[in-house]
Amino acid sequence: MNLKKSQIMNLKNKEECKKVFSKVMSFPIKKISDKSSAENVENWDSLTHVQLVSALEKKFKIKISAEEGIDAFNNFKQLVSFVEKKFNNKK
Amino acid sequence: MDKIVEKKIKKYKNYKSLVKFISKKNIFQKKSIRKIILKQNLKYFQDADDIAKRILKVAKKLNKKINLEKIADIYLWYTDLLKKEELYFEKHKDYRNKNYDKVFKEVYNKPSYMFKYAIGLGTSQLFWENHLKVFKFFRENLVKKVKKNPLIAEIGMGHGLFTAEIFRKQNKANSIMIDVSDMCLKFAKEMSIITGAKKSNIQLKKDDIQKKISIQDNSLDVLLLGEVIEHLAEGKKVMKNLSKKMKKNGICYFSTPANGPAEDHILLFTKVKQIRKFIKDCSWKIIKDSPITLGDMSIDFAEKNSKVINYCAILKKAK
Repeated sequence: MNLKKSQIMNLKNKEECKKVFSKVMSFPIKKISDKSSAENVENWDSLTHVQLVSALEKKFKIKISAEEGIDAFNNFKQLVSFVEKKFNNKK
Repeated sequence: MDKIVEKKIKKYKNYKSLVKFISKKNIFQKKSIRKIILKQNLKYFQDADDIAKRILKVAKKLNKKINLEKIADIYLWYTDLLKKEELYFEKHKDYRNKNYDKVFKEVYNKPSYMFKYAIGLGTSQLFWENHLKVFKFFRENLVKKVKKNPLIAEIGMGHGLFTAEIFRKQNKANSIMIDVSDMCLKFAKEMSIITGAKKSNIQLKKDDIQKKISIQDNSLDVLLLGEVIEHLAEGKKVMKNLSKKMKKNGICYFSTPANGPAEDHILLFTKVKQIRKFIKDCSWKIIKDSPITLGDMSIDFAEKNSKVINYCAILKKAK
């Protein structure tokens, strides 16, 4: 399968998101799915959410405003697409 | 709500409704409230139901359209507000606002905003682990020690639950309530009245304590100064002036956060020793204090990682 460069980047970013998410939430990387959310990830609460936003900013060198940080994503799938959008806008 | 939670709170009508509304609307709050509920005993639920009931009564008196669902919405608005500040603080390790006049204009001088603020903060008293611990400290170390017929003053009334707690024990106390917001003065007055105070025993003073403090020197038996100093640009001057208002054996309940962002916090403490030094530099002595962190976090860890510490203390004026 031939993937475009942008698709490879997206996959790479998704893997990086997983690493960040797993570390902040102390959640096994293998168990992370698009549906991972505060409903099914025990440690995803308002405190770890703040840490997650901050860790994503550092990892991807993106800027997330306080307003965006509150409710830009409620599950892992939304998190990845939010990061992608921010990351691509940066370029 | 799951069955375990439901079973624990089913008897407490007001509290249960509030928990139900909040849990339905916000997963983060649902989870943290669940954790709190599972840890608590009978006394907590009785108190919490009573507080929820009183907040509803006071809020309804000031705005007839309020009900428990609206209180839940206001609480969620308040937690969102704080989360924004936490995000800012996590990044900048500093409070967003530095200017008191700006905060006054944007926050304290808006009655409808302050109405929501008093409700949001008051409701946090039910669900936040650190606020529960601070209130426990206040009850055990101040309320229990208040003597008969005291003259008490509270600065920065907010929801008024702290002064009301003294009235519950000493309904003949005389109270001076000071705030820059008319709305908070009204809210706190009603809170004390429904907790047992007589109207005639309450004086309201709308003062900016950085400019004027309407209390006679050497007159106070009790001063409540909870979560006030961090809101001021001239905290040191105020703290020094307040010590002059105390009787020789008067006691002061003091609390302030380290690393505790909020839209109206200006004065940033990052370490407990800074707060202790601040107190001593302002002509007070510390009788007892307790720095409170979230969960089992050590003070050292909280200081190194800029996590919130709720410092509370009992003070007397220094000789």
